[in-house]
Amino acid sequence: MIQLRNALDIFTLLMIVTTILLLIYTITVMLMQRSKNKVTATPKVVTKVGCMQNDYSAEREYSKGDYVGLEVGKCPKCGNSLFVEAIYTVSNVKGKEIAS
Amino acid sequence: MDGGTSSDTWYLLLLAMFMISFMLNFTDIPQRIQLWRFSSYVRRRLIQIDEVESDVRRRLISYLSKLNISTPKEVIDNFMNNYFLIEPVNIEPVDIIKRLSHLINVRDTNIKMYAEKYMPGLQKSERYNATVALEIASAINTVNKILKHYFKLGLKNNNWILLMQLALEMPNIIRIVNSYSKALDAFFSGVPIGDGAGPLLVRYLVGRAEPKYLAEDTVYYEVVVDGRKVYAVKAEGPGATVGKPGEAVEKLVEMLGGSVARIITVDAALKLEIEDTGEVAEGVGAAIGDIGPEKIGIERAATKYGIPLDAVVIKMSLEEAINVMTKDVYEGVLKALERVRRIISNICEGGSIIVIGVGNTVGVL
Ligand SMILES: [Zn+2]
Repeated sequence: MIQLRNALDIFTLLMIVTTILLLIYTITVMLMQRSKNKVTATPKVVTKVGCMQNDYSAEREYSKGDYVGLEVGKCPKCGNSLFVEAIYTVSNVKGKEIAS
Repeated sequence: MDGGTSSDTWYLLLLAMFMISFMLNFTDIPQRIQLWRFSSYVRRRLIQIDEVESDVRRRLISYLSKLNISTPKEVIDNFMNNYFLIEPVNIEPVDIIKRLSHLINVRDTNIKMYAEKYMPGLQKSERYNATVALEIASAINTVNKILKHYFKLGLKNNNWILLMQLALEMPNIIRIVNSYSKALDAFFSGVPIGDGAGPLLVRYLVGRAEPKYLAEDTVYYEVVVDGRKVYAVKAEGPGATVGKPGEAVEKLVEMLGGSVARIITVDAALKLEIEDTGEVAEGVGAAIGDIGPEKIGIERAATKYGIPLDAVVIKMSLEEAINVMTKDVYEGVLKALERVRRIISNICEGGSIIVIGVGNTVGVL
C-alpha cells in the first residue's frame, strides 16, 4: 500500500515537474521574442561643417538639402567659405539589432 | 487488488509509450506537425514583409508627390516587374564582358529614359535619387514574390524541408528587407550612405579641385599630393549613381599613355561578423563590387601597362553599406585616407597615381 502510493506519487510528481518546466520554457521563449521585436530608436543624423583652411569645424543637426561639398556660409574665424564635410548618424545604442 | 491496479497502470503506460514511439518512428505525423508549425511561422513573417512592402510603397508615393509628379502610382507600377536583365550566354565566354556591358548599358539607358519621361522637371540629382528609390522598391517587391512562390510550392507539395529552410532563412531575409526599406530615407533626402565611402575619400583627397568629365556620370580631378600628380576618379555627385569607374580608368590610362605609377581602388567591403565597422584593410586587386565589366576594365588597364593595382577597403555590414553613413564608417574613411596618402608618398616624386573612389556617390559632390 505504502509502496504503491509512493510509486504513483513519483509519477505524478514527474508529470507536474515536466509541465512546469515546459511552461517556463514557453514563457521565456515568448518573452525573448517580445523583447527582440522592440523597435530601436532611429539614430540622429548630424552634419559636420568645416572651413577650407582647416581652422574651424562644427557638428550640427542635419538639415534638408545638405550634401557633402555644399557651401554653407562663411567661417566665423577666417571668413573663408564653409563647406559640409560629412553627414553621418550617431547612435548611443551600441550593436543595435533590427527588429525581426 | 492493490497489486492489480498498479500493474494495470504500468501496463497502460507501457502501451502509451509504445504507441507514441510507433507514431514518432513509423508515421509522418511529426513532420506534419513541423510542416504546420513552420508554415504558420513563415506565413506570419510573410505578412510582416507585406507590411514593409506597402509601407515602402506609401513612402515612395508621398516622396514622388512632393517632387510634383502627378501620377506617382503609375510611375511605380510601370517600373515594378520591368527592367530585368537576362545574363548573356556563358558557355561561350568569348566576348561575354562586351555583351554583358552592352546589356547593362541598354538597361541603364532605358531606365534613364523612363525617369526622364515620367519624372520631368526634376534636377539630375533628384531624378537619380528617385530612380534608385524605385529600384529599391522593385527589389523588395521581387524578394516578396519569390518568397511567396516558395511558400506556396512548399505547401502544395507538402515539402516540409522547403518550408523549414524558408523558416530558417526568414530572420535574415527580414533583416535585409528591413534595411532596404530603411535605406529609402537616405535616397529620399540625398545623404551619403556607407557604400559612398570611396567617393567621400576622393572628395577629401581632392579638396575643391574642378571636376573633368571622363565617362558617363564619372569625373576625375587632377591634384598634386606630396609632389606626386594624383588623378582621382569618382562618380559625379551628389545624385545617386556609381558611374562607370572601369571605363573611366581605361580611358584615363590611355590618355596618360600608360605612364601611371600606381592605381589605387578604394571601396566599401562587407565585413565578417567578427570584424569591426570602419576597419581598413589593404591588399592587391580591383576593389569593386560590380558584376564584371567595370572590374575587368580596371584590371585590363592595369595589366596592359603593368601598373601595380592596390586595393584599400573600408569594412561594414550590408545594412551599414546601404543606409545613411554611420560615424564608424566616416572614421574608417579618414583612416583609409591616411593609408592612401601613405601609399602615394611611397611612390617616387613626379610619378602619377590614379585613385578610384568606388561606390554610390549619393550626397557627395
Ligand atoms: Zn576658417
